[in-house]
Formats: sequence, structure tokens, C-alpha cells
Amino acid sequence: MGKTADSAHDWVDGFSHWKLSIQLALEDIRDRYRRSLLGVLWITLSFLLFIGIKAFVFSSMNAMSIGNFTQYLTIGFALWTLINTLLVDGAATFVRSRTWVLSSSLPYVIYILQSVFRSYLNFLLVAVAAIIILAFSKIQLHSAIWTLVPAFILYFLTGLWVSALLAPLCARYRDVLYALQTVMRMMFFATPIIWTPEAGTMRGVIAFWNPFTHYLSIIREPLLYGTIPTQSWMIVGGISFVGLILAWVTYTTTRDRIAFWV
Amino acid sequence: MARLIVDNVSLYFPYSGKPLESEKAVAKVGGAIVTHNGRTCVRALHNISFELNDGDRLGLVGHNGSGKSTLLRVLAGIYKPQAGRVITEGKVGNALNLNLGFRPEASGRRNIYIKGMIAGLTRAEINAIIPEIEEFTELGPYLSQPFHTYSQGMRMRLGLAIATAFRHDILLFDEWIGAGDASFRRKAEQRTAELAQGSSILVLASHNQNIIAKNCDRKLTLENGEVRSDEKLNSETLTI
Repeated sequence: MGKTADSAHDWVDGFSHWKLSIQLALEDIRDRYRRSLLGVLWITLSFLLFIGIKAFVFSSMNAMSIGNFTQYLTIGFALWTLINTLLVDGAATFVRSRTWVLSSSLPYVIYILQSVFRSYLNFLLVAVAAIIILAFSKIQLHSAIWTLVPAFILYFLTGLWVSALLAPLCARYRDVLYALQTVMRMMFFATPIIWTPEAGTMRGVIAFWNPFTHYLSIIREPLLYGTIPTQSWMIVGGISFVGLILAWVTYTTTRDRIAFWV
Repeated sequence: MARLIVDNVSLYFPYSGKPLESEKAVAKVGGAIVTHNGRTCVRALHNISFELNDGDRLGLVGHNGSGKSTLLRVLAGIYKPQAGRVITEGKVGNALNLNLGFRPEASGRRNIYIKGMIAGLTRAEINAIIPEIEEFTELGPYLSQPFHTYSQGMRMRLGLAIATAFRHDILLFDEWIGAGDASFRRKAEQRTAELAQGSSILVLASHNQNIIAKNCDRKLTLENGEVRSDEKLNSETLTI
């Protein structure tokens, strides 16, 4: 078998084990909170408190009314939580699953799926808090809300390709992982989450050139304003297309070496 | 029908140190340090060849770092060797790490489910083998306790029971039976004998000559990643 066939086989075989990936992801989340009284509800609770304090402190600095700013912040921060775990945990996949890589012959795609599912499970608990906040602040829903379905599928795909691209690199060069963590901490402030971009200002320029803005927009705009941001969709679509190709090439060329690197 | 063919396998690991001045360096432990394709590498396996068929039970022995575990990983398809090839016919069961996949906070029973899923079983199939595992491990009420409360020996019991409960054509074992009391060791030996009587191939790496003598009919001795001797064993004539 050639490398391409091997790689294709990994993906088919990995996806056929999706139930195992979900169970492993569930155990990861449970393990973290077992023996605590509230358990996984800590994820929901800490998000609620976080939004509470931020909305209180930052609302005075923005022109938006407190109700709108809370909604803006809630959606942005919930999505950022998902994006951040998809990227950082996804990149750490092989390093984290080292024992598995070295003592099991399961396809690596199982661990990639495990990490993507774990990020989504974590997000689900955050989403519970977000929905509570949005409901209490009386959010008006629009018909454009259907675009959330393709948006979350796109996030899922992004989680897959980011892991397939970065996890082998992080296994080979551990610095990539620390660099990514540092960059993501910086990007949190460079992305319109706790601030709003205004056209013609420096912040507006930063927001436009930051790809994360567009990932947030495809969900935040239909929810808040009922609009579908076509430009943002085109940008994230383009990034995904290039990302998928790069990820495929990286995974296919490195898969035989991963066991030697971890 | 199970078959395992290892054909002229060589495997190199990256070597992170000063490049070699001489052609080759060999220590009492580990593989040979050689220059391969212009790079200094650790040659963990060198020109290994053998063939195993139904009912064969191969024991791997050798000093620390002689290549036993590396060879098992090659057989399991974890490491892809830079030279040579491995052909396997039949389902390969991998017990290289009996503790793999055990979740410390989950109960023994939940761990059986997770390990069963790792082995590719459905929920119904796992339910079917649980009584057998309960009987073999004698853990009884402890199966509902979290795994982290288990002693080393109890963990071994569960690990071995699960690894051998699922039927495989080729079973790979690395350094087992270390812990465990006398009664469990007897059970484990019996289980291994049963496995070997089926149409399965067993490959077992161990430092314990008694375990090899009792369970294997062929012994491959590795030294610095090379085969030093390949002997037939006759388990009946050996006294322990």
C-alpha cells in the first residue's frame, strides 16, 4: 500500500471507531472533575461567573447598552473557548496520547477525533451557560439562525484539520505547542470578544485582518443581528480549503514517523 | 489460520548526541550505535527474520534494551521498520501494555467496557465476556470500585483477564506476570496454555527464563538488536 492509501485507511478506520472516541473524550472530561461535588457543572458555573464579572467591568467602556454587550460578550467568549480548545488540545493530541501511540495499533485518527469531541463536550457545558445568559437578556432570534448548523460543522472540520496538521508538528517540535499557547493568549485580546471593532479605527483594522474575527462572525452576526456575513464565510471557507489540503499532506507524509517522535 | 512472517527487519532510532567517530559503537545495553544514510542512529533491530505458524509460542529474551519491546511494537504495526517487512495473517491482539486505557477514576467494570471497545467489541459482546472476567480476576465487589483503589496485583489481574478474554489469532505480550500472587500466576499460566492450544500464535517478551520455559516452544535471544540464538524449547523436559 502506498502512503496515500494508508492515510485514507486511517481516516476511514478512525471514523468507524467514532463511538470509542466519544467514550474516551467523555472519560477525559469526567476524570478531570470526578470526586468533586458539582463535577462537570464547574465548567458551566465558571463560565457564568466569568461573563458576570466581565460584563460588569467592561460594559462601561463600550458604547453598547449593557444588555447587548452581555450578549455580544457571551457569544464571543463561548466561541473562543471552543476555538481555543480545538486548537491547543488538537495540537497536543499525539503528545498527550503518547502511551496509546506507543502501545496500540489503533489508527491515530481515533485520538484526533477524541480531542475534537472533548472540545465539543466542553463547549456543550459552556453553551448551557451561554443559553441561560442569552435567554435572561431577552435575545431576539432571527431566521438566519439556521446558518449556525453549517457554522458548527465548519468548526468541527477545522478541529480535524488543525489537529491533523499541528499534532504531528508538535510531536516533532515541542516548541510549536508552547508557541501556539502563547499566540492564542495574545489572540484573545486581538480578537473582538471583549471589545467591539469600529470602522475606521485601529481596532477595526486589527479585527478585519484577524481570521478569528471571521470565525466568530459567522455565528455571532446571525444570532445578534440576523445577518449572514458573506465576506466572513468566504474567508473561513478559503482558510478551510487550504487547511484541509495542508493537513492531508502533513498527516500522510508524517504518519509513519509519529511513533518515533512522540 | 494464523501466520506471522518477519523478513529481514531493521529499525533505526534517531540518536541525539555527538556524531560517531568510529563506524560502530556497542554497549552492554541498548542497540548498536551506527551510521545509517550518513546519520548517526541507534540501530534497535538488525536483520531480524523468523516465521511463526499456528500454535507457535515464541519467547523473546535478551538484555535491557536488546530490542524485545521494539520488536513486539514492529509486530504490532506500531513502528514501521526502515528496512524489511512484516506479514501478518490473522487478528493481532496487542497486550504490550496491560494498563493501556485504564481510567483511574472509573470503576473496574466501566474499564472493562472501555478496553473492550478499544479491542473493537460491541456492547453486547462485552456483556457476554464480563462473567468470565469476573471469575478469572476474582475481583468480585471490587469491580464496582474505582480503578485507582486497586493494588498492583489487582490491576494485573484485570489487565491480563481483559487482554486474554478477547480472541485473537496472534497475541503479543510484553513483560507480564511481574506482580500477582502464586494462585494468580498459576491461573495466568493455565490461561496462556489454553491460548496457545487454540490456533493462536503467542509472542512473549520476558526476563524471566521460567516464564519463557513454561509457556514457549521456541526462544529467540536478542543482543544489541541482533538475533544471537534461535532455539527450540521442549517444555516437558525442563524443570523449574
